[in-house]
Amino acid sequence: MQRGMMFARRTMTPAEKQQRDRVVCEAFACRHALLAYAWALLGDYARAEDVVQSAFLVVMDKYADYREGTSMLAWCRSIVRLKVYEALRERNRLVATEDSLLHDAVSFAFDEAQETEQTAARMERLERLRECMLKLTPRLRSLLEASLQPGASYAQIGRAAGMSVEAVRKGLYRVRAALRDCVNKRLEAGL
Amino acid sequence: MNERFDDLMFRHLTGGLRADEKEQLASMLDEDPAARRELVQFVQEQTDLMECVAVKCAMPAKR
Repeated sequence: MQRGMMFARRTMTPAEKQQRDRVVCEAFACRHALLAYAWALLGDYARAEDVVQSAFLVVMDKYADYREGTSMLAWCRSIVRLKVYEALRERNRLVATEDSLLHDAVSFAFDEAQETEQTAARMERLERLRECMLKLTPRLRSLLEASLQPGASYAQIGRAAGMSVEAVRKGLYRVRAALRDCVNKRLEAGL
Repeated sequence: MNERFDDLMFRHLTGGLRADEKEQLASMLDEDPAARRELVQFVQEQTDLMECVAVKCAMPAKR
């Protein structure tokens, strides 16, 4: 017998498969919240996506550790948090004091907001957001889209758009505030 | 949402904060529950926008 085969994983029972699928499905419903959390900790959207993806591999592997009746979001966040620290350690051996302070504050903020938005409510909000984005002028929409590109900065956006840094900063603040207002009004009005 | 917080959050999410600004943002979050709620909402909205832009959310829906 080859050495590697001694460690081959035993076949899952149908009940275990069912449990794993249920846990993974529930965890996947938290994906948006987990991505937001990882992004807030890392300050880098692409790395946050990688971290969340690797956290889901852990969820698939450790599904039996999830305790029924406890918060799936909190359990998944604890996995994401570990993956974030792994990612940070890979990049820098030492985490600066100010980064550590900010991570603690961000984690606390998310721990306070434990609620999980239902998928249907989230889809509804995205649809309203889509409608509100259509109401933006092409110039404001392109400003917003430029701010969502990897490595975006006020200076870089300003150079591309022929705007000052201050004009970009104020413009983005206004467009984000207007979008939030528009989405909230549409949701309240049931549009 | 206020302009200063919006500015700090945007630059935090794009990795553009200086060390002193990170400390300032951490202090704001530590001291103010409203700032913590705002942080969570801001990041969720930005995540929505990323998703929207990725799937061409701003294009008219097919009926």
